[in-house]
Amino acid sequence: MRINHLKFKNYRQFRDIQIDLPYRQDKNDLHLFVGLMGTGKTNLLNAINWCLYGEEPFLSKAENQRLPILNLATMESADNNQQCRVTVEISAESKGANLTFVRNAFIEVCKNAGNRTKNVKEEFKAFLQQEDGNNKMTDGDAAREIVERFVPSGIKDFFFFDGERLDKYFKEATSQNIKNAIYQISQMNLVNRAATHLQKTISDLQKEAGKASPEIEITRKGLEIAQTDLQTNIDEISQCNSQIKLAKEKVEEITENLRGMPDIEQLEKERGIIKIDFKEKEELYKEKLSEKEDFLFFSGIQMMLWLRIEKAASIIRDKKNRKELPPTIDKKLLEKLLEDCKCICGRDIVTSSIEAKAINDLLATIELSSEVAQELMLMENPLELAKWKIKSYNQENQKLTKGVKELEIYLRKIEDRINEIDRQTGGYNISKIQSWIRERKGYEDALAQNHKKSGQLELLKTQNETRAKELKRKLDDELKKEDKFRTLKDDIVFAENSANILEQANKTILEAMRKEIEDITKRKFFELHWKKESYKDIVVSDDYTVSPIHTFGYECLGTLSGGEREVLALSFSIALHMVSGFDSTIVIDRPLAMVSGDTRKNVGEIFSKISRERQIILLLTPEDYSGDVRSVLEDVAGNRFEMKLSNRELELTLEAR
Amino acid sequence: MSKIPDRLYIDDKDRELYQMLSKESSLFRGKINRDQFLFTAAIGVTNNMRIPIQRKENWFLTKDLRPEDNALFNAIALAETESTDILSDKNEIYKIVEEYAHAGIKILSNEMVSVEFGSFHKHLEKQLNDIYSTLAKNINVRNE
Repeated sequence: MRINHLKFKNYRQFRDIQIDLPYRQDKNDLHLFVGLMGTGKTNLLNAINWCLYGEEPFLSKAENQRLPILNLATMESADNNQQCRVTVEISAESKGANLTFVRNAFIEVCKNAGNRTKNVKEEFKAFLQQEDGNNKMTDGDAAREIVERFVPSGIKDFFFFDGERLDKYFKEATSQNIKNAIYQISQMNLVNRAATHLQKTISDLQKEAGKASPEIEITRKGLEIAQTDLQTNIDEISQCNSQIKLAKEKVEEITENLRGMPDIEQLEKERGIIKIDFKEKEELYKEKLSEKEDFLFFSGIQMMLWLRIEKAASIIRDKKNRKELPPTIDKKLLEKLLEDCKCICGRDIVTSSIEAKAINDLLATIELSSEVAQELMLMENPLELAKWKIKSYNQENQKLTKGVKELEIYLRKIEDRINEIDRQTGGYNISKIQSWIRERKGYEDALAQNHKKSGQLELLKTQNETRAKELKRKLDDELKKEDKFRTLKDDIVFAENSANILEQANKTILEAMRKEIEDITKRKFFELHWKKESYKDIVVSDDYTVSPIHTFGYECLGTLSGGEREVLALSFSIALHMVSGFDSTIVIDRPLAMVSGDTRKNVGEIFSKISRERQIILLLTPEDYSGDVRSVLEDVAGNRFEMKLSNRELELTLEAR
Repeated sequence: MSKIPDRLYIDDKDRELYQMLSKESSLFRGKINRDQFLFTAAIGVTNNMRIPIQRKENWFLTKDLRPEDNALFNAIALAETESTDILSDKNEIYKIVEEYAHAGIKILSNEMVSVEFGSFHKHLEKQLNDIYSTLAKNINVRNE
């Protein structure tokens, strides 16, 4: 299928544009669209997909990040609740027949709800030129069938590429798509239907024999159950293997996504642990700091009073040295002498006598001295204790300061680590990474479970195979015993032989297709590749996994450069096109996105070569289409369009160069 | 002999300063009136400043004083008067420390304002270290 025209009405940046892609004898069938990011290159690829399949696979995955399909300028000028039509029309030709595909979407603009749009209706039509020259219009499923005849959705990925996603081109899921597509292309469904019919015939014939003999019926039923179990095993093993492949692919894909990213799970775990530690140590730090502050407060009182303490202590020391402390005269004894009016020597003391006056004078002196002496005595120990505390101030303060400082340093280290973790995780979508890690863990678990399950199923399969074989042999023996079953037996054998032949044919056809695809891929790869010495083979396996083999003999898909992968993808696509008979236009968005250096020119030359045989549309940025690439493609390209945005960047304009 | 006083007083104008320091500074936070008073008295002493109280206001009871507190009060008064007689006059002893505390709270609140918020303990530690250095030379204690 070769695209002749593309018409757009109100589709994203394509407000009202027709693109003609005529074939020119003097040029290659190569058409270049060059535009800055955001001008609508990927949307051209989306438009083709949307028109043919009703989907836009190259949009942002997040629904809420997408702009409406309706051109924004049209939406702006629309009235409230006005319905606007979005149209993409592809006019093409294939093997002499003219085809036109038209998809319309009717969009209602709700101005009063913040310019929201509502998809009211979508319709798809296909116009196929008849032998009489008239166009026959079909819509709905019939129109979709026409698309499937010319560009099957199952293998659309091999017509319409996103160059930036070429890395994922040869993943398991893709090979599964290829396998399904090959099945579809080779019309193996017909062979399968015949095989199923034969199996049913065999079963019916066996049932017939069972009606005539209870023994045969028991064996037949047993065989039927064994065969059903066996088929269930085979289906389950197949499902299990698909799950294993898918899980492997997903694990690799997520691992690839996570490459270079911080180990968020580990870091978050560490962050959680050290945060708890931080809180505990912070509490301890506060306690220690408070202890030190209290120490300073109470020591401060003593330190500031040091001179007074020292002076008072010195007075006490003097008093003691002079034996004034403790006092030598007993106050109570003097008081008793006066009370009894008796001297120590036994003489009477007259109240007004000189002796009485002397005792009273002495008593008065002692009363004062005693109180003072008592205070001084009471002061002595506390002051000595205060002095001792003052002397040990430095040592105690250093001890407390050390404790506080150690905790300060520890807390700072934790803070630094938290900051480091924040720095490492900063700028990353943590929840996204965590969800990837969880997803990968899920796939890893699924992989392990399916491996285990697969082993168990294989064992069951072997057991069921043996059981089915034994029962089959028993049934054959029982049928042989009776003459009346001879015809029935012959019919069963005939049907079984036919089924075997079909199975063999199925294998042969699929193998032949695989081989042909492998051969063409190999031929094209070596024809196109500039490093012919580096590779010795291309192997396409039974499950359509494509593996380049290095000259030294090892499989080397993983080490292929972006440009080499592109060559491999193109070679494989061409092979698929040739074998399947589908010769659709190849459209590639950013074909040089994964290619750098000298390889760019080589890839450019490859497009030049391929476009001699088939139509190629390349969507490029000005950087992609720089000097070296331009020198190769400019002269051979049939068209080159420059894509620019106008009308406040809401509308695309194309300039043919 | 005069009656022994049962309480110690501050100037009524100082109550606000004590309350402010209790609220805004970790220095006084959680400290009882007796200890706050001892601290301000020590500040007054170390700055050698006594200011008579104009209007007395109850601050705490003397029964709350521990022997070591009494020893410090006596030491202040003894050094102040250089006479042991003062020890028999509690009224005078308390009057002296009250006057030192009155001066001390003013000095302290001024220092608090001049020092960067939250760093008074560092300021205090530096002052105490300086005092200790001087003491260490005088009393021949080893600076460990």
